[in-house]
Amino acid sequence: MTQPATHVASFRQIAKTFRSGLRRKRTPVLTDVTLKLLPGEIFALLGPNGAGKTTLMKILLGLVKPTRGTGRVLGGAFGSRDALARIGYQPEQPYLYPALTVRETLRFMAGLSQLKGRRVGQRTDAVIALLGLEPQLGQRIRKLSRGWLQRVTLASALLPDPDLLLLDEPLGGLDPGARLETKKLITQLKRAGKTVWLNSHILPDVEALADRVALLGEGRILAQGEMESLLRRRDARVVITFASQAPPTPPDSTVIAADSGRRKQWWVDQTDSGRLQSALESLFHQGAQVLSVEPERESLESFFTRALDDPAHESAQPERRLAS
Amino acid sequence: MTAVLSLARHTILDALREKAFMVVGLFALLLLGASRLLSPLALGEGRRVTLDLGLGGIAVLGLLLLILLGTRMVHREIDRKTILLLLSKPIRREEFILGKFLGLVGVLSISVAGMVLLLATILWVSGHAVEPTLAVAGYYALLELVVLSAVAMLLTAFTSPVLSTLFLLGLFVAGHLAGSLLDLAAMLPAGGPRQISEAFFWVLPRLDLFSYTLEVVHGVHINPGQILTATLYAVVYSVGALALGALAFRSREFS
Repeated sequence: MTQPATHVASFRQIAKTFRSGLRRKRTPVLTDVTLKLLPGEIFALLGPNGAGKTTLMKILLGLVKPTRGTGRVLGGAFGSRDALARIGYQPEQPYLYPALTVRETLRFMAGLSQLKGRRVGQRTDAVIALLGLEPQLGQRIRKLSRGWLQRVTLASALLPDPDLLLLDEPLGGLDPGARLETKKLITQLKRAGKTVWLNSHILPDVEALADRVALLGEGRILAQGEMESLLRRRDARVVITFASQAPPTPPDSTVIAADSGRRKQWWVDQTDSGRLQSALESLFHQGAQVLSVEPERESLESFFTRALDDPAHESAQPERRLAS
Repeated sequence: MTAVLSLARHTILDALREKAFMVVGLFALLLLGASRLLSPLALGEGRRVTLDLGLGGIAVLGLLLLILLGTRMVHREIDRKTILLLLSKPIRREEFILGKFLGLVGVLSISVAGMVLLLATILWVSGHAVEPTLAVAGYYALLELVVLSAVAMLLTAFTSPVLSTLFLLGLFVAGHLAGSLLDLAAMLPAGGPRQISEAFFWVLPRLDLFSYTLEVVHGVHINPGQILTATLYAVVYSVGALALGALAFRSREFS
């Protein structure tokens, strides 16, 4: 019996330095990146502009060659034909042919995706239905809005029914409705067993979508892990959410109370476990109904800012560093 | 092969919608029209003048179209970044080059066939004889463009469109003189200059092999063996140039 694959793609100590101009000026973009993509997950790569997120995707696709390091994707080398046949890629901008219609674009992309015979029609019809492209099929690409262009590039990426989907800034430049639709689609793809790697700057959307996140900065991975563990602050407090008729009195001054009408919460310092117990007992005695007790969670935006401000601290956190 | 054919088909479709292509089409009409107007002034040599102008026009316009489309072909994909979309699909770099080349040859074939048909129509309307040698002349013009297309693919794989154009024009002129290079070498003293002249003879495309205008104009029939030799030469030279182009393109990065 064959073992299920432990990862879909892996990067090991990848470095990339671009050279430009007559004097071949060196611009290091990636210095040491080790990363894995796990099957069936939504993985988000975050980082400031120019951090090398797109370069890393391009290395996987074989469009850019690493200066150092190795890696595999879907059991093959980066950019190998067999691997590319199972990968869908949506670039940051909708790079399409303005003079072609949507139908011609899809037919062209189906040919490049090695689809043959009846499968061309089946897959084309499937992505047209999935992305609601029917009304625009006869329209020239140059006449489409940004939202529709994004849909066409996504449709092109989905044509081969890929196992791995690379989405570079898929939510950028979309109106709220289109963003919501795209998020729904990404979740749907994950449910269908696809692995999704997305690069995005829209942190609240990433927070809602991603299972795992890595932060790229200074040419390396500053932090990575599952979203929940990454955003759980070890030096933070426990949040007790409860329901009660009247606001109960906190047991001591270290407990911070918040009342937003329907939701009442206490923030309890967790450095001393006795405080949590006395807070819970206090609520019980005052007739409150405890709904949940959870560690305080940081927002992805706040984590992103903090990690970039203090990369040395984040890299030093053992559970936030990459697993080898 | 599906990907190669898709690329070729798309290249033809894209080129057919290019404004440059329309301009060349219009120019072809004007030039052939001019030959129609000039021939009555040629005192009984109307057919010769029409054929001369027409075949010359086909060669020049074919080259113009090749420069307009061929030298920018790969660069356009890079400039508008559609290359990212194409090469993220399961196609090899060699297939990309081959698909683009076949598409370009398709466009040139359509153009040359259209222009030859137009020339034949003008001859027929003017009451001149239309002989099968005209088709052979068209075929030869196309073979020359096929060889130059392969060279254009090689050049665009590693130079800018401007340099590609300059090189291609230089090769067009040098290629028509290439046949004389061995004679030139024989006249040179042994050593460096002779070896250089001989080397150029083997490296430059022998475009003189595809000159057939005079034979058509003077009604000289061509030996089928010559057509076969020219065809084989065009195929071998194109394959060599494309292989080098693919090799140069393989190491390129698209950041």
